Amino acid sequence: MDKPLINQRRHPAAWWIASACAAALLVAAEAALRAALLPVALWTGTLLYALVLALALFNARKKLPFLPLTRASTWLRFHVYGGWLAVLLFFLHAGTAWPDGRLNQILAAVFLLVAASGALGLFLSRWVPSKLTASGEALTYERIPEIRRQIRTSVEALIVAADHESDSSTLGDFYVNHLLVYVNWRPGLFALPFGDPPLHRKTISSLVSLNRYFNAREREIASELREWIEAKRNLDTQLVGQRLLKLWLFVHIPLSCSLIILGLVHGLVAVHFTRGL
Amino acid sequence: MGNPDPAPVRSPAGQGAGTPPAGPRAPDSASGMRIPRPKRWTIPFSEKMTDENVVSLLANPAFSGIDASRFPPRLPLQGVLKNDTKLRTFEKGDIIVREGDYGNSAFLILYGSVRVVLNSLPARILGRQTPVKKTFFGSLAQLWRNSDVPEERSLAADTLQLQARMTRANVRIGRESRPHIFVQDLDQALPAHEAVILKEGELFGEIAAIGRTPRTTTVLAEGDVELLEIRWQGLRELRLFAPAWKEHIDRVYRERALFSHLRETPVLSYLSAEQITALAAQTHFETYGNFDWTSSFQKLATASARERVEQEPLIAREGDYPNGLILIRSGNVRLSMAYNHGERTISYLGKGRCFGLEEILHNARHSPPVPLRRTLRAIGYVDVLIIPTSVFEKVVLPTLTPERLQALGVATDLPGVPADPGDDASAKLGPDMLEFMVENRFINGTATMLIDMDRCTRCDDCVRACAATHDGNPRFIRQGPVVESVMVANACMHCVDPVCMIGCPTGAISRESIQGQIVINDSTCIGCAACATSCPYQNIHMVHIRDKSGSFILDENTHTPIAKATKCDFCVEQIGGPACVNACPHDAMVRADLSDVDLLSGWINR
Repeated sequence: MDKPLINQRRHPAAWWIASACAAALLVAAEAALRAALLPVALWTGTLLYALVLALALFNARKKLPFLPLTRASTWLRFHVYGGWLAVLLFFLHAGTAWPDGRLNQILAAVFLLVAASGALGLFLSRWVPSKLTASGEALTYERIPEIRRQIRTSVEALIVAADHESDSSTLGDFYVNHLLVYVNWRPGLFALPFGDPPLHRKTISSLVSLNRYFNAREREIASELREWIEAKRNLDTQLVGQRLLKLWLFVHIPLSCSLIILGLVHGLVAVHFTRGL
Repeated sequence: MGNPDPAPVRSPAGQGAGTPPAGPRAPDSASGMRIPRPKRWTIPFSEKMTDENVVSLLANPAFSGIDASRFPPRLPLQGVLKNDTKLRTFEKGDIIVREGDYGNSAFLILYGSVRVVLNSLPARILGRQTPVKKTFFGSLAQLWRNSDVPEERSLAADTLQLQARMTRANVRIGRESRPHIFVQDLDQALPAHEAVILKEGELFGEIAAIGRTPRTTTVLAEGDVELLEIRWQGLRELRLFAPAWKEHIDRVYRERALFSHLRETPVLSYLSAEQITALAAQTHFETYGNFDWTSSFQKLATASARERVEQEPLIAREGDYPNGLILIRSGNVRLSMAYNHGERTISYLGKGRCFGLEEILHNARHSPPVPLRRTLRAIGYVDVLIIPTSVFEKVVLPTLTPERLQALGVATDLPGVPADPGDDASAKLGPDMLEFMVENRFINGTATMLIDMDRCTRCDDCVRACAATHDGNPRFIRQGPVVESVMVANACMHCVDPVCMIGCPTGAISRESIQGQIVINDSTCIGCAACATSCPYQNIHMVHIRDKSGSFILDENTHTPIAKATKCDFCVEQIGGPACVNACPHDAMVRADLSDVDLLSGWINR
């Protein structure tokens, strides 16, 4: 290949400096417009709406991967830093007081929710991946239900084997009282991908405490069961983490679309009444 | 921010992203288009080769001595000549072979003579062109032209594609109605360059064809010349079933490769052409490992790490006296040191690197002599050249002044025995990462897809981008082995040594010129799966093709589906470059040339 495809040009400081300069410029421009008795709200509102549209283009870029539109990582940086500028512009435009009027209140709420969900998404995208990597084997989200079935089938096969080969009910009892509950357990929708779930700890602890009753064959099977219990823990962590990484988008994207529509309505209404004055 | 579209994507097997590819599935419909199943010679190298041409060739001294009965009935000599060769004519100054191009064929001179230019020519003279890429609007049209049917093929489009490949713009239309790049006023344009004249009956181009390496020299027509171009599959059969051809090809291959490689070796760059020739006469040529090493690699997959290392052919052992300077001509080698009861990998070396230089330099100037400080083992198929120590000391050493050695980056004083590992790949990458990359032979890749799992949000934007640029079909799977936090994904690595190309009966899988990507010509792929079986990394997938309605395209005789090999083509036709890397919002993915340890360690340790 003629050139390396490693993007080492990250320059976060440059983005920070550029954003800080843009923020300072915005504040100064707003003050200047206000001092000149110009329609500040019209200017800041138009600029804010244009910025929101530009931020939304990030999604359009994803639909056009075959065009040389610079790397998506550059777009994401623009999206993040531009997003912070949009928050600043919002407060320059609307002030810090809660707006009057139903439309303005809805619009403000939607904007703040979009900004908050974006910030949450940024945090999750920086925090969750390393948790998933540390948890164990990388699993594909779409395959998780299938792997869950495989775990259950394998565990049941081991318990049946233990029943036949060891002439003992220790592992069978363990399965009925503890393991079955854990294998069937699914983490809640908003569970977080860190730490061992209490049920996992309890299951492991129960298995360890049964060690005194095992013969050699049961110990072998218990060792394999423990691996499957760890696989189940990893599966749950992968499910929770990957679901979180997708869930926030179900808030951010629909609200962003609503924001664009409501913003347009707000702008038209504002222009209409401004002309009427 | 992040991924706005978490919808599942279609994998090559029609499952979720990252799902391991299933084998070809049975057709879901008995109906569908029926075509003859493509075979070894369904699409011959040239449609214009006639039986008369074959008869004439068989009378040529190059073929008249061949015992045709040694060829198996399914691959008769006449069949090879008719289907794997083509007659080419060139005029004075026409460029037949360009230095740097990846060629899959050799040329036998039937009439006239050619000039082999030994020195590099400027790109302007060579008429280099960038690979044909889509236009902006052609790229944009993918937005609505991409098929909803997985692996849809239009047979009409295949034909057009073939025609397009035949008519790409060049400079002069030759007698065979084929465009040629030519050098105007050959004698004046190239007076200073050294050249070798080859005449009737001589063969050239076999080094690149057999060695899967770029052309090392440029070859031009001296006057009117007629050549027999033999694609490498035909060359392979001739080498296999005609002993005289095998002897000739091997001898020429070794002699010419040796001279070229010595010229390209930095430590020998201060030698004159005469000295190089003298050196070549005394240089040994050795090969290690299997030419087609996939099967031996796969057999060792279940062996322990120690067994795998011990199975690698030993080239030089730590503690032995350095008998000669070892130059790596092609392939990769493992550099290791004894560590308790095993061997610890220190680094890996690829083409153009040498081994034992520091010890030889030290021993020439100091006493007592030191033995080799590291062990050298072949990974896969390796060609090495060995310049005996006595010859090196006599011919090369006088040209290596301290300043030149410094310029070459060679340590003149050994830091001690054993070697200081501070400057090795193990220190840069970390021992686990290095062992992983070497053991799995990922170092073979020039565009290995690596994913930093600590950054990857599993959004699958990369897979979706790949699908969008390949008619809705992703050409890689976001899954693979992970070491530390780096995943080596299931994507074609565009290997230095592409063993996938060895078994292809039609030459459908080949190197793209200039940049060296490995690409599959869908039109000439017969779906034999030889490449997919040969790929040591399972990065080539067989798919069943469908027509516009979604029905499988079936063999008209057996009614079984027609298969094609697919893989990452590094977006050679896309103006935006590789879509996967560009689509990653978190800079989590790279396509890395693993021969560059510094670049890789820079990415890992960023």
